[in-house]
Amino acid sequence: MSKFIAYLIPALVLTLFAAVLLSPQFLKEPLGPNDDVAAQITTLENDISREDWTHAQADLKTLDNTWQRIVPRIQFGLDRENIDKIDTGIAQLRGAIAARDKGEALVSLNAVKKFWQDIGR
Amino acid sequence: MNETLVTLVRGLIGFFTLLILTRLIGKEQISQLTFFEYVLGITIGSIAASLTVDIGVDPWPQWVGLVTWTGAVIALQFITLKFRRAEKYLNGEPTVVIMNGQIMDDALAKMRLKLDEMLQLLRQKGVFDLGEVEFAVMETSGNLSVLKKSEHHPVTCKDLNIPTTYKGLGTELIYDGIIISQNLRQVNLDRQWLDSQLRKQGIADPSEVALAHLDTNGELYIDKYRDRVQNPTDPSDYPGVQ
Repeated sequence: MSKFIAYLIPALVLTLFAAVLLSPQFLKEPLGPNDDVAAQITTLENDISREDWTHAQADLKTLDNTWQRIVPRIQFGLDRENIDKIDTGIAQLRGAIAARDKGEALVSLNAVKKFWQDIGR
Repeated sequence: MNETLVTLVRGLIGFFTLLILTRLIGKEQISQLTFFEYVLGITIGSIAASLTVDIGVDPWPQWVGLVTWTGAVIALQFITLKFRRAEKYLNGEPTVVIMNGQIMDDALAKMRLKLDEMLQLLRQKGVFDLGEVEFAVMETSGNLSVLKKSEHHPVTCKDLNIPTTYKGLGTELIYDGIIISQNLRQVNLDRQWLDSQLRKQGIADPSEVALAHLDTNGELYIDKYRDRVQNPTDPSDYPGVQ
């Protein structure tokens, strides 16, 4: 094995590991239609502000589905706590929307928004 | 989050990162490590373990920490290699603890080494009589080097004027049933010669050989897979699974 290849292999492996661990930064971005969590949070925020609870419930379901689809691809570079926080935030949001509690819903949604923005930072 | 899968991936990342980084650190043996390098090794291993199993913590900072610590070790190695003064400053210097047969009590106190501990180190070196020691030096690795008085040195062939032959490094010609052609060429021998040597020992094919080793006197040692020991000695006192 040439010296170049002997050094190239570990360099490539370390680069790959770094890419995997930093992957949430890139993989949280939408990769297709109905994959944009940030946009779905904004839509939900508008629903709650207008107190349009029927749409809010439907949009929360879409947000939850999108989030559950994104978790497997970002989980290797993320701590469990961060994922748990968003899961808990969505659960609280579900309760607040069911109770039609605008204040509580906005608090929970903003927490989810902040945890989402923290991913990959 | 699939915890099993995440731990598996993180484990592989930690394992191979550690493998690559320790290969970069070099071939220093455990016994040659200074106390600081020993602690560094433990710290690096501990970060790698945390990276693997602590899935409640962001893995990226831990991986960066692992690379940083290893980078610091390599930087320190480079500095101590290039600058002798820095090496003395960072790694310390060997200390003479016995000089001309006399124990240097001040040096022992400075190193916070008890007399008992030094005697133990001497015994580990096979010295039970302090009167035999001319010099003893405590190395930076924590090992004690001992120079015995000349009258206690073992007699060598040179002392007795006995001629000796050159004894260099041997060469492996077959390993795990496979002929190492490169080594065979290095010792200016060929496949025909090897085959004839194997036939002499009743071996039809190199695949029957676990190890064939040629020493510098031209003697070929062959270990076959099939051992022909009739009554092998069993040092175990445990009957094992029957």
